[in-house]
Amino acid sequence: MIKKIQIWHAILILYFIVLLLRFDELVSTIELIFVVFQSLLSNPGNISNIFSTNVVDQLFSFALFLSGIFFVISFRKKLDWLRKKCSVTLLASIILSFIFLFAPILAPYSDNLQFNLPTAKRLAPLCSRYLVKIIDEQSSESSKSQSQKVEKSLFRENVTPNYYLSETPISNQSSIGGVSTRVIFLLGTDEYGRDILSRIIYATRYSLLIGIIAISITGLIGITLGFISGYFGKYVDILLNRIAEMFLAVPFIFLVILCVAFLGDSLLTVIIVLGVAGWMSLFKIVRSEVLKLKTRDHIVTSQMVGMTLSNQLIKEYLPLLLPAVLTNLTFQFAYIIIAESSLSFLGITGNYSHSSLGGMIQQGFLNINEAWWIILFPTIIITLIFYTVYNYANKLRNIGANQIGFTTD
Amino acid sequence: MGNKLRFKKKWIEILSIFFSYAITFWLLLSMIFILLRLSPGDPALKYLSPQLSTHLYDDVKISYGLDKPVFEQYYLFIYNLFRGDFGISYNYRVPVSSMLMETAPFTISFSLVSFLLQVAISMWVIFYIHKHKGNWFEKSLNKISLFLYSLPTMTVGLALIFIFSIQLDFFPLSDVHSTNFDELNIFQKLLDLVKHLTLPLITLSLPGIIIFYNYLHGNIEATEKKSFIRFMIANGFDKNIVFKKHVIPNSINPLISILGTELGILLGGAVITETLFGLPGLGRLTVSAILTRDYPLIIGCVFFSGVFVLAANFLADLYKLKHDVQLRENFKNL
Repeated sequence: MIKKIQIWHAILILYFIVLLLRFDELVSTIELIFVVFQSLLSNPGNISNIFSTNVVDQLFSFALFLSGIFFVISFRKKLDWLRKKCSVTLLASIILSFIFLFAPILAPYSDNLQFNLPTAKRLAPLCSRYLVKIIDEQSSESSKSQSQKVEKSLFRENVTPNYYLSETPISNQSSIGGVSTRVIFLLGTDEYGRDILSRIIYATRYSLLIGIIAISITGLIGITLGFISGYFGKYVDILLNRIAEMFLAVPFIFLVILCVAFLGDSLLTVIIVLGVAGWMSLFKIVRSEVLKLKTRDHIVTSQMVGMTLSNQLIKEYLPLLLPAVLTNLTFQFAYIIIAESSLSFLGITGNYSHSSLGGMIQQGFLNINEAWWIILFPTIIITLIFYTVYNYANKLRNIGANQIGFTTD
Repeated sequence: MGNKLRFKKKWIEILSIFFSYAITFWLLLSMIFILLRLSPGDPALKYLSPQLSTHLYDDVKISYGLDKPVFEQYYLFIYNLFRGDFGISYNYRVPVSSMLMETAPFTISFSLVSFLLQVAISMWVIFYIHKHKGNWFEKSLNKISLFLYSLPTMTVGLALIFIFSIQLDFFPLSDVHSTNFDELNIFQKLLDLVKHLTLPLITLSLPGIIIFYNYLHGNIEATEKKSFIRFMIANGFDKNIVFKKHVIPNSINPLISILGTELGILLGGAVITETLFGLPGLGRLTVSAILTRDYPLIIGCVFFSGVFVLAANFLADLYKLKHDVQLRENFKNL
């Protein structure tokens, strides 16, 4: 039964689950679209005000969400990879890409929303509480426009007297018009009363994003320097090799610590440092491959015909280098995810405003006696990411070793 | 005559390796200096204040050597590092070199014990698997090993602390030895150390064991397919003896060459392990240094770990030069 499930089945099942659980969010997103259009038509001047990062994020992932459904349904017969059998690794990667692409839709709350502490502090997984929303007609009509109201319900970042968590539902007899809905905290809350599910979703997205940008930096530096070193040889080769050895001499974490210490710990610095710190192995692989390829006939011909250097790299070398490079980068991606989370666990990075997996583990470490769930779920996610990516890297390596005949070691 | 020539050639090889490592070392120093220069802010700037005298800023600048040209500063920086003078820690008010001398022995011995454990345990697993080929242990190991490898170090440590220290109370929570360590006799001291270091060693060694196991497993499989092993088995040699005397020595050789890289990984892992278990080592010192922006201490720690890894790589290269025939042939052709 399970073996018959194909990729597009798995994707559609996941879509169905999301639709079932997050229907409210989708409805209010559609509402947001109307409001945005309305305010665009009525007041076209302040586009920058209307399209804040939150709004753009929400709308973009909503668009992706819808187009994803149509894509899968319409192309399920035409594309071969959608009809492959769904293994565990594939399922994990589909779940991860869901989290990565649709984070604002999947997350029930904003990752920094702190509920009122007495009721929401360290709730165990599957705990339910009542979310009270009091609709105060007078103040909302006078002070806020429609768009601000919708935005606030979507991207709420703090608790107000009109929006809080309580242990009992409010009575119907009370004079104020309010609604209390029962909400379930699927993965519990942490010690500041923040929903762990939302935090994990956003943190996963950030750590995947950091990994992707970092490996593109690694790839850029590694390929360029490796090509230069292998192509020109002689003194350039010796110098670049020594520099690579120098970077290899310092353990990865020490290197990142050194750079972060001197250049600050903003998100951008961390990404760049993580990207730069891993270029050496790629450099060595590309260099040795270029040395091997240099004497091949078609490359010598391209040189004699008078192709420019960059053209040679892109058109002649890169297609042949690609399997080795991809394998190495996939391995590095796995290590960067681990490195980022351990850095933010140590408190060296992660002072930025969003949630991070390592930071969540560190916070759980401080509350390990009272709340085991704060540690458990980020760990599962990190393990899942590493396991999936590492499996892919191994597969790529095996394919490369069998068909093309290169080794990455 | 020929003997003398060979002797000379060997020294040239060793010298050339040493020279390349010296260049690497110099580049490392330069990188630290460049980062120091790149870092935003003037160290003397915090002495510029309306409450303090106006000369103080200039005096501090002169005493730090910041008024000199960059090249002279560079020269002084390297000169001081070679003398072992890393400056004085901002936080602890103690020379950095003495702090390094206090913490480094622990980290080095800790890493070495962990390294030996990794080799020993992975070898034991390899032998066990060879004896009982095809049983459930071997089949499940391949899948479990990847799962264990993908667990982050900090979580392994945390889970061990939570289960064995907090819930079961088998092992102490942190530190190297108990408070009454000096009163104990030698066996009790040993027992105390073992009790304190069991969990950290498991945490630090787990990923390494898996790396070694996978590496050795692959190598052994490759060696077993080679013709000379097949020839021996076909001629009726005892399989176990062939495995111990011919397969293992032929597959373990490349292990030495990854020693340097492995030590780097160990030092990196020690950062997390030491922080988790509160051990007084180089890793925890580095983390505390960076959290308090203690620049001299950071430079000292990074410098020390770099020297450590470079030395390990150098030794591994020398070993390879002696034992790896292929490499020696390459050198002869040069």
